[in-house]
Formats: sequence, C-alpha cells, structure tokens
Amino acid sequence: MSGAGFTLDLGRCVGCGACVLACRLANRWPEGVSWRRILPFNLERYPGGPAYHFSLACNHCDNPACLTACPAGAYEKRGDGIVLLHAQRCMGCRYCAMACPFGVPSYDADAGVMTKCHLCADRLDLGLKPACTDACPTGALRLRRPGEGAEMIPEPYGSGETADIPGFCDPASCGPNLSFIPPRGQIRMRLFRRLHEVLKQ
Amino acid sequence: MSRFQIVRTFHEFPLMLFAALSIAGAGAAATPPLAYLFGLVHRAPERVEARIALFLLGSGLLVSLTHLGRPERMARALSGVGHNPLSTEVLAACMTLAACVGVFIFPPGGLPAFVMWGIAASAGVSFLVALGFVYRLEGQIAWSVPSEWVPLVLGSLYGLIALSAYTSRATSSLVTVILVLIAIDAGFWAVRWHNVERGFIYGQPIHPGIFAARRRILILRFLLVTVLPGLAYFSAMPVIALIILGIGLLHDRLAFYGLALQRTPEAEVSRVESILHSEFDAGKFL
Repeated sequence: MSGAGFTLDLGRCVGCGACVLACRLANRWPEGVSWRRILPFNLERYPGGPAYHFSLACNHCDNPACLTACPAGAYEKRGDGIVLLHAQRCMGCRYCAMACPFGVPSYDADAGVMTKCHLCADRLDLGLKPACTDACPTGALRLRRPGEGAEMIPEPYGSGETADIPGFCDPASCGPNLSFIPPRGQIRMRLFRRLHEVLKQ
Repeated sequence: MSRFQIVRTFHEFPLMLFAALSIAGAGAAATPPLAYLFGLVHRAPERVEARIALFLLGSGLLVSLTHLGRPERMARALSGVGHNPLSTEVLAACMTLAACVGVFIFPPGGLPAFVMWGIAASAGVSFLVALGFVYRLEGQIAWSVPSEWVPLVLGSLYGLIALSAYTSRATSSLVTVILVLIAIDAGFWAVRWHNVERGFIYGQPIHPGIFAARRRILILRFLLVTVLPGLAYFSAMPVIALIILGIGLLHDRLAFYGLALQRTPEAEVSRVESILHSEFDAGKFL
C-alpha cells in the first residue's frame, strides 16, 4: 500500500451510516448509484462472535482492476494514488464493474457512464478531508495519505493494523489502499484470532 | 423474482446477442481459408462464406452498440489497443469485417482476394481468442479456465459445420476435426458445471434469478451446443446442425453472462458467516 486511501478502525465503527450520507450529500449521487456502503459482519446473528462493520468505497488500489480493464482510457491514477474516473471519456460499457472485485464502479443509467468514489480529490486539493471521514462521528474512518503506513497511526492502533480481515479479501491482487485496525478488547481479540484460525483450516 | 424482473435487470442482453453473432461470424470468416489450407476441404473459400460472415459479424457489432451507455463514444473502445483485451477484441472484429468487405471488392481467385481471406482468417481467430480472454478476470469465478477458450472452439465448430453445409462431400479429416471440437466442448462444459457449483461458495451471482435455474440452463446448453448439433451432423443433416448450434450459441452466451459469479466483499462476508454458522452449531468456535 503506497497511495492515498482509507483506514477503518473496526473497533470504533458502529455502522451508523454517517459516512454514506455525507458522501451522498457531498457528491450528489445519481439515482440508483452508490459510492459507499456499510456491510455489517455478524451483526446480531452470532452474539458470541466478533461483530464489526465494513464501511466500503473505492479502495484506490495500487493495481486497479478497473483501470486495467477500461478500454476507453477513462480511468487515471494520480500521482498521489487516487484513482479517478473521467466521465467525459467513459462510453458506459460497464466492463470495469465486471473487473472490480470490490463491486465499486456504479452505472449511472441517466448519464450512460460509470461513476465511483474519487476520494473527494477536489476537497483534498483544498487541504480538506474527504466528506466521509469528516463526517465519521467515532473517528473510525480515516484518510490515509500517500506513503502513510501503520507506523503513522497513533498507538495503540499502529501495531495492530492489518488488511487481513475475515470477510475482506483481494482476489485479484489489486493492492487495495484500505487498511483495517482489528477490534479491541480481550474477548473480541480472542474471538477474532479464533476466526482467523478457523478460516485458515 | 419474476421473469419480467429477470429480463429487465439482464443488461447484458445486447452483449449476449453480440457475442453469439460475432462468434458465429468470426468462425464463418476464419474457417473456410484455414480448412482449405490444412486440406480439410478441397474447395477454395468463396464469396458466399464472406457474405454470411459479414452479415453475422456486422449485425453483432451493431447490436453491441446498444449495450453502451454512450454509443457516440464507441471509437474510444480502441484507445487501449496493444494493452487492453477489449480494445484488441474490437480491433480484431473490425479487421475481420474489413477483410470480408475486401473479399467482395477484389475479383475472386486473384492475389488481393487471397490476401483478404488470409487477413479474415488471422483476424477472425484473433477475435475469437481475444473475446475469450476479455473475460479472464480474477474476480469472476464462473468465467475461469477454460471459459476463455470456448469462443474459439464454438466459432470453429460453427464455421466447420457451415462449411460442411456448403460442400457436397465432407472429407474424413473435416468430420474428425468436428468430432474433436464437440468432444473438447463437452469437456469444457463439465469443468464449467463444476466451476459454477463450486464458485457459488465464493462468489455473488450477478443475476440471482437466472442463477437459481443454473442446472437447467447448463443442461439445456449441453443439449443445444454439444449433443443435438452433433447428432444432427453425424446423421448427415449439417443444415439442421447449424441451425441448432446457432440457437445453442445464443443460449451459451445467456448461460455465460447469466451465471456470472463475482467475488465481492458481500460474497466474502457471506462465506465467512456460513463458516461461522457451522462452527457455532458444532460448538467449536468458543
């Protein structure tokens, strides 16, 4: 991971959806399009298990499958790692949606083009934070600037940062710039480790 | 999910038509010169074959435009030639089409027409290979090996059966090649069945309504592409075989797009939760 992206603290995220709403308001999502979503894991179904929420948008991957797949050259990876989609170049073939293993690019049927999260590049250029991270009331969702790694995240989170979280995988070796901080607390950590073991088997 | 809803959400319908028509068209363009070159038929390619290829491939390309959200930007599809498989596919299709037009422009039997047939053969094969490899995507489980070779096998099969229908007497080599292609397709079908069933654990069906009928769809595909055309062909009814295979090609592409399984975080969460579920039930987790 080297480009700009997100860090999600699974111990802090409560799945309130403020990030989704903020993104929707800031970017005026077209009808039927979603740039960010909350994916509850194990919510209320297994009370003894590790419960957490994935707040997911574009991961601005190091090797973006969408960019590689696009025949129209509509995608661009900026120097800071942000993967941009230039709507004026998109011909709406939806091939990027087939290629992305994170289900990110959305089709705007009215405009006939694809859309996706641009990490609020315009806000970043003005020195502001992305709308979603700005709105997160618990500080669970954070912007990770280019070049920032686990060591840049303050203790006690830094040492525990990992992208290897049950329920999230990178099957296409895209190198998603999304890092996770595992849920804390002795019981939750034990259950979390057990889940890792079960999945390895 | 009602049938109306399934049809409404199946946005790949133009792609399905494009792929079926263009597989048949590229096969019809590439096989006559190649079959003649390798001695499978003793008859040089004629304009009638180019006409059929032109019609099929041309209609396929026209239909594919209806899939695009912004068809006026269709030329952008060639932006990635050299490094993008989809751009390569479009270029190969255009070259095949142009070569078929060239066959009509130049007098039959002359060197230019011969060159045009050569271009049609190479571009047609390139198109069939590129069409397969376009869908070689890591996150797409049901489109994994050997799906990328299916267009080449089906295009060749269609072209060779069409060639049998034109020629009064097929050589034993031609019959053998057709038999081999049918056998290869049967093998691919078996692997595909396995991929779809196994992939369900890891992937999310793009069209759940269609995916629910996956076994019926795959059995019908086997009948329409492998069994019935084979039976008709070996019963000396190549025209009937060609018609059934044409319908089978459409159904094959319906099965291809309709049974797509994509790896998504949603699918991964479901998979892990199902493991959790069984662990909890067995009392092993805690």
